[in-house]
Amino acid sequence: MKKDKHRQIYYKMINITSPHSSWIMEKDQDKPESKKANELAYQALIEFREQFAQLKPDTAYQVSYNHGHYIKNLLHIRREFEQQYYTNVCNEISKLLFQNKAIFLQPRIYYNILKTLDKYL
Amino acid sequence: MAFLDFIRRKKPLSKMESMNSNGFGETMNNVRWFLGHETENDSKIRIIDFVMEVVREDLKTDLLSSILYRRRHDAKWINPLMPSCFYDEVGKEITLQDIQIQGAAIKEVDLSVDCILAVPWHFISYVDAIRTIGTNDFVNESNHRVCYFKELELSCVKGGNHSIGAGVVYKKGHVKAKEISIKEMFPHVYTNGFHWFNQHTKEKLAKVLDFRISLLYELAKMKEELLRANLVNQ
Repeated sequence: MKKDKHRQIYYKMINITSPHSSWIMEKDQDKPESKKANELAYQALIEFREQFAQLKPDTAYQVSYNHGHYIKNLLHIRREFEQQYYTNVCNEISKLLFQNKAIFLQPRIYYNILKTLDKYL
Repeated sequence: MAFLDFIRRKKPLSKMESMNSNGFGETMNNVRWFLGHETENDSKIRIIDFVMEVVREDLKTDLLSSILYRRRHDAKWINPLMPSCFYDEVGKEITLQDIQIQGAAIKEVDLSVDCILAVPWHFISYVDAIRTIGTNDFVNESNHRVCYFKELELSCVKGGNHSIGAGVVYKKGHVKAKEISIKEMFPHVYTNGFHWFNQHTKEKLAKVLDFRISLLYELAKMKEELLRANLVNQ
């Protein structure tokens, strides 16, 4: 039952970012379609932030084998935010959710995602 | 040699040890990879700052939630954060207390913003403190003892864990902390995520209680080197 709920949350969140996931290359950034996609991705990220803030983080702290793995995802997210490639950010967030499917609501990951989104949005 | 020691072990690694080995090495490798793609020192420092912030948040949320959700008095004890003494190149012993006395600055720590590691180790006392601070203002009591590690931007509670922990939960109040600069320790101590080592003799100094502390230490050390390089360039 709990697993089903978690899975529902996962699909709900990933469905916000994954339609806007793509890679903007430096050479493509001035193309009008890339600019439009980037704007849409930015809106999707704002929506994602709103929805994500309403979720409740896990109560039990889970020790996972790849404890520090999410830091790598966050570093990628940060790098794309710095370059303002929001479609890439959507891609990296989707990747983070997918790679940490069972643990993305752990407080360590949850609050760090929120903090990063607050910082750049 | 470390690998041979590892395969000779009869006892399987504990959960914390496997987390230690994986978390430290993987994160340091990732940080090095990202730093390798930057050319300017300032951008490298910004990356290190970001990772340090992430690790501090990780530690803070872990420590505060562990007692509430486990409902047993087995909170993770992370004190002392680092070895209480280390040795310089001629073998002279320097204690953390020596550094503390030299500095003796007082820092005002804001419980709503700053990262403060409180370990509320007794469930009932913690619930009492949460009840009291939820309805009243945060009061600085005589048992509050806090150390602020300047380079790690991290405060560690030595006394008053429950009330300060509750203050962090409600994000209200300030505490006064003794400021300690561990800059002096950097050339003499290094860590591999399992143990603290003497840089000169490669001898073990102490066991790392939580890999995230050693991670913060090594990142602060890297940041310090970059800051020093910036100064030299200017």
